[in-house]
Amino acid sequence: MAYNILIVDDSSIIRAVVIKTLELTGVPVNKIFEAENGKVGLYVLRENWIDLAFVDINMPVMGGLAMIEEMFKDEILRTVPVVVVSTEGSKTRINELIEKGIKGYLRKPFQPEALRDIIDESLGVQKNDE
Amino acid sequence: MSEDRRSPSRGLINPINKGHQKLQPEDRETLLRLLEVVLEQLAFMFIEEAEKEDLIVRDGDYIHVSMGFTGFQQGHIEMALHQGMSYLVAANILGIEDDDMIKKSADDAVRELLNIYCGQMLTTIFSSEDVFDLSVPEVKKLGIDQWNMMVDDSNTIGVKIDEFPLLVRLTL
Repeated sequence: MAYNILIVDDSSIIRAVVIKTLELTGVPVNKIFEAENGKVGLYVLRENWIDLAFVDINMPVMGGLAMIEEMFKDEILRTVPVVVVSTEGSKTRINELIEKGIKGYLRKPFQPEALRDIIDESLGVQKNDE
Repeated sequence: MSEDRRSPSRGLINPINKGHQKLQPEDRETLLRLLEVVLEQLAFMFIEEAEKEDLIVRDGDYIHVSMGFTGFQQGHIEMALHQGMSYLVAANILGIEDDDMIKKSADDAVRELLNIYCGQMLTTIFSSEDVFDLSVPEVKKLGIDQWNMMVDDSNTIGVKIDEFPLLVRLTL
């Protein structure tokens, strides 16, 4: 199965790094969607089937926290696994996000293996499925 | 009695007057080590420590990126670097050699560099329990005089990377 993945980050360079890292991990990808803020991210989520969303926290227009809040208010969008990819290091905030229902958290800068592991965890991929 | 994690005795930052706090030597060392780690992990770049006189410049194009943070401590962090180094940062992060793409991505690369550095700095110098809100980093041109004034500031740390100078200043 190949996945549709959404990357929400105001930094085009980080979106490019995530895409490149996804290629390195060998995760089967059908289509990658990009959004530069939470507002665009929500629009993409409403218009497309997304299997996994990577969401940054600190973004203009609509940040990741507000976007995730909106997702969890929506019956359909709340089922999309969310991984926060951020510079955020506060355990308090990360725990709040995990309690709200995000599937995982990855702190920048990250290694390809860490991205791969978090995708596997988030999508329930078994290691021996590969 | 539980430790007050916000007390001056715990903190690494020593207040000298309202609105401006002087960095202690251990803070400078922490900022330097974090810079080393972030540049190495993000952009595969290695820093060399530099004396103030080696950081004074007479010409060249420089840029300045800054962002604020609010929480139990508020302040801002700035980075200043040669334009050429911003191209190197972009090229290394993206792993590309296309000059047009590198120039187009340079500002974004230094914004992200500072963003990541700020996140690491807040949890290292303060606490991983505290919550901070960060502003979006802003990039602007920096004149030679402004550069040299930043070099002179006691809260600035300076390094060299491939002969390019880079400055970091934390203001609380």
